[in-house]
Amino acid sequence: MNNNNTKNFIFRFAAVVLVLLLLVSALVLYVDPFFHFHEPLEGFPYIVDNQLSQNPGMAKRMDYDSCIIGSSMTVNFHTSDFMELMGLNTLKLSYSGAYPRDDYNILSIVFDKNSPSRKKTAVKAVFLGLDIPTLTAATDEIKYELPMYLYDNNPINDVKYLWNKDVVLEYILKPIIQKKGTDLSEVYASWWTDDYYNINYVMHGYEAPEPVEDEMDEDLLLPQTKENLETNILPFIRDNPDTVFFVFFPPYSILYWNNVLTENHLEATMKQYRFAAGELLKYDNVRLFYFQNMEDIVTDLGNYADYTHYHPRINRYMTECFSDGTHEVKSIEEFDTELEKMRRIVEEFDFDGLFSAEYW
Amino acid sequence: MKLWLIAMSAFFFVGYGAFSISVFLLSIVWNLSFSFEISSVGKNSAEGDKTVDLLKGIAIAGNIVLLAGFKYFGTGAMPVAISFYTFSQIMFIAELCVGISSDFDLLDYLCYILFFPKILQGPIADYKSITAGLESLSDKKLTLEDFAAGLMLFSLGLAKKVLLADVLGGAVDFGYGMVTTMTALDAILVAVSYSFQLYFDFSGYCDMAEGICRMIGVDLAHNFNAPYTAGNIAEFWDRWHISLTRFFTRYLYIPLGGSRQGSLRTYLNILIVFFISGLWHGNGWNFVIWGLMHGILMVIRRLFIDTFKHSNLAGDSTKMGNGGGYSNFGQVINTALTFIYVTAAWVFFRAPGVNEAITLLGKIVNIDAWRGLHISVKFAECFMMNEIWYMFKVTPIPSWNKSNYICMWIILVFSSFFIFSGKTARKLADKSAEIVLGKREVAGVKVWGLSVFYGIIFVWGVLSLGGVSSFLYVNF
Repeated sequence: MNNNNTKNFIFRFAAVVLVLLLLVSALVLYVDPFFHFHEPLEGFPYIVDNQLSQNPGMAKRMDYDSCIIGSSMTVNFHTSDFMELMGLNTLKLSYSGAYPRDDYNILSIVFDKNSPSRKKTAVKAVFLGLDIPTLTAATDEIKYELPMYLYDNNPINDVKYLWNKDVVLEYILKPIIQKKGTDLSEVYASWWTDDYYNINYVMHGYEAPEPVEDEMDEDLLLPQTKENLETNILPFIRDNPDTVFFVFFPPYSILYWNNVLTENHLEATMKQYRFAAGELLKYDNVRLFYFQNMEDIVTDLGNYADYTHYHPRINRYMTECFSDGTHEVKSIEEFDTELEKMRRIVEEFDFDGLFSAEYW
Repeated sequence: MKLWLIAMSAFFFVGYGAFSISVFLLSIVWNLSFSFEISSVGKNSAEGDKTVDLLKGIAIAGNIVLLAGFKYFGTGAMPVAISFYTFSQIMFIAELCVGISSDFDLLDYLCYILFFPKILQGPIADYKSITAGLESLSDKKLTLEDFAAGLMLFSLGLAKKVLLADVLGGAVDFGYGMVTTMTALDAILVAVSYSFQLYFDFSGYCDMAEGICRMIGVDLAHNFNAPYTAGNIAEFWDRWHISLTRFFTRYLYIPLGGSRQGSLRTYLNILIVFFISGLWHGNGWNFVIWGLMHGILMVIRRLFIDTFKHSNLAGDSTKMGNGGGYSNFGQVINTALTFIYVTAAWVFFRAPGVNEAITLLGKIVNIDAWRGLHISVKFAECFMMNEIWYMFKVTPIPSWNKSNYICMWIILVFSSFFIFSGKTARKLADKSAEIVLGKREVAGVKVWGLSVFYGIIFVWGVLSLGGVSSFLYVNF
């Protein structure tokens, strides 16, 4: 038995492991591609493409005075438009498929008074895309499991970030080699090119839901909607009276309304919209926008890549509306008028013609 | 030491949540209650045998009901490791009744059932081997030699899991998502990749478990022995998931009568064993078909041996797993045919349903699917490891649009070499340990070189853990 050799092996093995792990840790700490420990390095071409991992660090560390919150309905906003039209330094913090709890999680970081970002700048405005169907989710339901080591304040589990091959290779070495970082104005933008925004593509991918015979009780959606608003959205509005919340209902295509009709819950959905609007309009720091009854847009499937996702030019238009107040609703009476217009569009639309046409 | 092991094992299991802990506790309480009763009746009652049999029957039935209840009638998630600890419990009760473990005590039992290296995916070790190993711990000091050898084995197991199995797994997941559109070559590569993935995943876990045990001086039974080098299906099961084969042989095949009641009954018993094995592995006809495919080939082989036992055609029939009597070329052919058959059976094991499995296999045998031979780019892309991508970037590989294919072949050829050469992680770790101990010399290999090699493999594995999938066998 050569005991010295064995000792040497173990000692050198431990030394190699220690040195490599320290080197990797130091590299991740220095570059910090998820902005968990510090602000972005000047001049480093950061790749930002991971909402779950990079949003919390950006919300905590970056320099911004307004933010975009919501689902994939918000990913095609250009933050440079907000600067151009409203003079706001806006940060996009979207989560594709976000549930209200996802909004809550990121808003908690945005409004954390102890975060470096808040110590530098107050939040002047939040642009919140509200997807009404998600308000019936459980109040603690999230779309995807979160990498909690990036969301909590536990330094121990940070090793999952420090010792992570993807972090080193995808977010540190790759940008160094490619020398091209993400343009934060367009971050998280959807992959669809202009070619995908056409009726043929939309109709080819559309599957109508199974028809439901019995109409949904008009009040069925209200209790959970109220609970979600009370738990996940309204506390931030109440607690931050100096922040203006631009809340908007995204303009889904007419096919979304076909789903509502087929599933037989038009009245319940209308009442749900009215209830949510009523709750939001109680607050002076809320500016509510209803975009769903822009008839020319929602009935033209050339503006869509699927039954809900609209072309980026619609995002630009909505930004202009935030700036000049078009489509803003200031009272529940005005909202009723908007809903009536929406109801008329749905009732008058030629669904039979749409579904009987040929698409390639 | 035992208390420390129990505490550490319990701490390890706590991470799997209240639901899994509750079911595990229920299983422990159930089996402990019966074990004490069996032990007491066995010692004190004159007519203990019948009572013991009755208690044994109820205890084992309770275990089967618990497992089957979750596996076939449950609507939610499966409790973690339930298949493995249920079989361990059955093994323990059976051994207790035949007196092998009649002198059990609570600490030993808890060590046996909770022992953290084996709890998730086995091996399904018997009570005596674990307790004997733990017993000897108090008599001997932990040695540096054991520790070093365990470290090497653990590092190799980790690398197999995160560097090979998970990369192959990404390609397999993608492949099974495009069953209807894949080409014949895609279908072959998807099927073969899954055979490789399952081996690296499951045996990687077992290597890690064995490595940890070796570090603390406990010998854990080998669960794999280069299974894809098997020359026939019986030999395959002597080399694949060895502890499960032993369990089914000891506690199902032999109680059914084994080979003692004539040929027909033997064939039936073999089919029953593999049918049950299929059910144990999963809820669905595809698992039943997988089990029966193995059972049928075992029966055919047995039939062949029984028919030609007096001629050379049957090879050496006295050794079930040995293809004796065959030339080297014949052995290569046997190994290839066995691998092809096992791989075809794995298609049913992995596919979401029978139809998908038939579709995939149909692609391979359908002549039309062989027209325009090519491998889908998207499938090949799944093999692109970042590490290899960076190497490509600094080497003058001229055709970048082929780099995905190059990467795919590098991984598949390396995997094939590792699998078919018979080099297991255990053998490599043993060789390395012998070099470190000065018992073996290999030109150009130094102790410091081994330290660096294993250190890098270990760190590479740790860094890769960040985004890896869960172990495949956790759900079985």
